[in-house]
Amino acid sequence: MKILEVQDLKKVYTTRFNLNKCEALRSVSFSVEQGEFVAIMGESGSGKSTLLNIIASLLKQTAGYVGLAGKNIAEIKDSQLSAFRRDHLGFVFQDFNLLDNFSVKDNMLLPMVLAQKPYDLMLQRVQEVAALLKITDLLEKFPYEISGGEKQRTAIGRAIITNPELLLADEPTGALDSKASERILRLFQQINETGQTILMVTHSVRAASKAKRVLFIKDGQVFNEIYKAEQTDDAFYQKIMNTLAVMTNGGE
Amino acid sequence: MKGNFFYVQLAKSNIKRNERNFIPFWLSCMIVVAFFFNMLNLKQIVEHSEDVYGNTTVASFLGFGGVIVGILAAIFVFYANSFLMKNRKKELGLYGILGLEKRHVALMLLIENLFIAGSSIISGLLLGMAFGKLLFLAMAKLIQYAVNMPFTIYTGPIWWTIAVFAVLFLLVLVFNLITMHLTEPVELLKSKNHGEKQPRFLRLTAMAGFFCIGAGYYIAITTTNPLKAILMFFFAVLLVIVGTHYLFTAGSVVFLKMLKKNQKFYYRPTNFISTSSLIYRMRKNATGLANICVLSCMVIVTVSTTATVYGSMEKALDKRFPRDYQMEWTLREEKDRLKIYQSLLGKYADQAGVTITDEYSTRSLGFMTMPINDVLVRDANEFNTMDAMGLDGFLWVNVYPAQDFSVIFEEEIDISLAKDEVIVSENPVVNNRQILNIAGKEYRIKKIVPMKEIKGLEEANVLDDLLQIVVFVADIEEVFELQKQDQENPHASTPEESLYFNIKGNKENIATFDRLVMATRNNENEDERLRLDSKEWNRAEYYGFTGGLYFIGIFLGSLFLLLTVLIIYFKQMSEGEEDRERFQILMKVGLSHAEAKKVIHKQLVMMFFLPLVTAIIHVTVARFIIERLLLVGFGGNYGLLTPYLALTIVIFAVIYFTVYLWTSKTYYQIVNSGNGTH
Ligand SMILES: Nc1ncnc2c1ncn2[C@@H]1O[C@H](COP(=O)(O)OP(=O)(O)OP(=O)(O)O)[C@@H](O)[C@H]1O
Ligand SMILES: [Mg+2]
Repeated sequence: MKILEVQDLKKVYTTRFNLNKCEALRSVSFSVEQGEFVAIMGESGSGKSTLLNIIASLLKQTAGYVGLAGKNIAEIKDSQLSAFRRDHLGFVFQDFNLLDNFSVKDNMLLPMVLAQKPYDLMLQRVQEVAALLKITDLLEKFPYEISGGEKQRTAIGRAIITNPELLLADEPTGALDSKASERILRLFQQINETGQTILMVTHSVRAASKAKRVLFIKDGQVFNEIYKAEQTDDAFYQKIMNTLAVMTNGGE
Repeated sequence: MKGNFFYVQLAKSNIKRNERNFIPFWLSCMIVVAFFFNMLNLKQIVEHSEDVYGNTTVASFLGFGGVIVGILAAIFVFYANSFLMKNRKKELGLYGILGLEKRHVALMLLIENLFIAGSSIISGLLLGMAFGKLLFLAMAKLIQYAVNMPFTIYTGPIWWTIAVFAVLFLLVLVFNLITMHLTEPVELLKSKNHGEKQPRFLRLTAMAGFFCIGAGYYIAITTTNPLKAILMFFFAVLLVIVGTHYLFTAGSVVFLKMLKKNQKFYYRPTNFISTSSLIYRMRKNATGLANICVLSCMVIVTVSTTATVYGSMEKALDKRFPRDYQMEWTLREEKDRLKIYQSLLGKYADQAGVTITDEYSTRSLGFMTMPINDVLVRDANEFNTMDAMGLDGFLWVNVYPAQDFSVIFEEEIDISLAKDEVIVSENPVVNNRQILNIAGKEYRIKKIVPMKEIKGLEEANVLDDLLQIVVFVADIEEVFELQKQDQENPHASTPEESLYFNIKGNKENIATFDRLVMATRNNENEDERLRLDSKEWNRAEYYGFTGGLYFIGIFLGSLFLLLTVLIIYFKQMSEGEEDRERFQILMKVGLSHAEAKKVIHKQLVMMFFLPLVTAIIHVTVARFIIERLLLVGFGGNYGLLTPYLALTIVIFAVIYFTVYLWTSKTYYQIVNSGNGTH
């Protein structure tokens, strides 16, 4: 079953006086199946964040189609957009985006509270998720009292607590050291094994090699895609490196 | 040289970039400078205008006002500066990380400081001079100076203003440099995101806050002795200020945490966001809120009290002078001076072509006492009024012959008392008693009468019913008898006779009469000690006094108001900056625009109206003690305090609300700026 379908997606940024138009995405098409773990790679400025933000309905596309769980996101009314986002999507950011005035527990509960879920259910979910992410001991702490890796785990907890159809992550390990990154990526794999669909933007080949499929974006288009299939992480790593080399050389 | 120019450029661009922070800071410094300068300049003007009745009073008020403005200016400039620095910490941290040495940053701060100080002092002085004439005219109108008092700008106040504010800005700079020096760049970078450290002993502090406010309220309501009220007022004010700070910083957090404990309540979308963000806010900015509350109280109290004093001036004058003229002299058993003076006045009246009307006279012996074992000791010379302020036992006694009863109470009743009988006014000292002992002589209390407005009793202006007692004895011989009882005492007072009268006639004739009686005025003959006074002669002094007070009240009131507005503005600015990030995150997670607006609104309303409502409660309670205070020196508030207070509260609330609308608009703008989320 297709969770996400993107067709001919185009995004042109117009600066304030319409003088400089910047085409971030020209024509992007791909789809994501239920249960997949997809990584998106590409040079800086290639439009990865733009793509993710459009899928997350944080940004409006210029043209093209984005279907999420069978629904055209362009057709969702503004008033329903935040509810839709809350119910169907989880978002993990590079800089965590936790709120300092909420405890770890409350940060994770935020989407559930906004969705007005019953308290018993919230409590049950927060315990489950915290156990999965190994942050049960930190629940009562505040974001400024925990480490970066722990913050990112909290952010992941917040993203998956509502069991979203799709988990979006924009460079989730960008602000972490390699050891903490490794743990987060293993977590992603683990979550993916439980059936969670993940779409992750990353710069790191190491991170991408944990995914089941990698999409390469260049010049506003999907340049290539490779599958991991039965390969080991290391073998896949090598393959991604090769593809990247081709991509940069081909550009010159 | 070239290097320094670089820092000048940097400082300039910093100020430009931080406009939203710098402009209100600069504006408020400018306004404070203008107020300070005018206070000093007006003082000079009044001091230079000689032979104005009561000009020393007005001048000393203005001097006092100048000191207050100076202190407020210092507090305020530091406060505004701390806001400014808080918002700029990130920027300064960044410079450090980008490789600017601390001394370079210091140089940059110095240049910025010089620029802000120079421009705000100069523009403040210009603004002050521009509005000086207007303020001067307002003051002249209030104090009704008919005489020539030209508006002049003196150089003294200019130099004083420059000196005071230069020192102030220097202190601010030193403060900023020290803070910068003590903080590591990394800390500076992060500092904004940290919630303030949780205060310890939260509950205890909250209870202390409650206790302080309660104690302040208790004092304000129960202090009945008006002389004590002066001292107790300041004590109560201090308690309430401290209590408000504690209550806002700790009490609010304790309360919100209680809400948070109630999970059914807490885990609802708007409650969830607003409760936790209010806790966060209160921890960081409760001091600001408490300051707003205290300043609001000051505005309301200052303006309404001075307005009451000014408004009730004529009535106070009427009370002090039941007739147009009054004449007092020492009463001697062997000599009836009343007849002599009456005929003298009659002669003057004929000469001037006016008629004397509504004439009456009283005779009395007045003395201060501290009842010892219910004996009204005569002229206990160990104490004076100052000592009495702190003492409950102090009492002013006035002894009249019974014939004067009807004159004083304006009741035509014939009373005849036996030699050992007295009629006394209501007072705790005589409650449930049959015997009154005056200086060793015992009297039977025949009747206790309520103390009404007693005409012509000068002390009635100063004292409350509780503090004075009127005693009627059989006749004038009995009064002399009482005096003789204490003849060895050198401080002993002597009985006095007072004559009160109005005159009728045209303006010119009255002026002639005035000139004639003036000659008789204040005959300080040891034996006679004649004093003649007129309502008209006192009016100028009253106007100078109450008008000066009212002017200072409005002057300081508007300064307090301006500072309140600016503090609110600063608060909104810095909170808006912080909330922008928070709401962006919340919206990414799934808070809708409408919900966000609702939460922001709820939070704004809370933060805004908490200080206002608290301030209104404070001043409502303060009314009790202010009423007592007004009794001292002004003879009461003549029913004006309550309406004036209510009016001031309404006007203040309207202004406050306008400020709310204005700043919340900017707040929404800040929170929504750069918010591409739909
Ligand atoms: N709000 C905006 N207005 C105008 N142009 C923008 C805006 N946001 C991004 N761009 C431009 O669009 C292009 C794609 O930006 P995007 O942030 O999607 O890149 P990215 O692939 O995420 O890069 P990185 O890997 O560095 O995060 C860039 O050239 C960028 O300059
Ligand atoms: Mg990006």
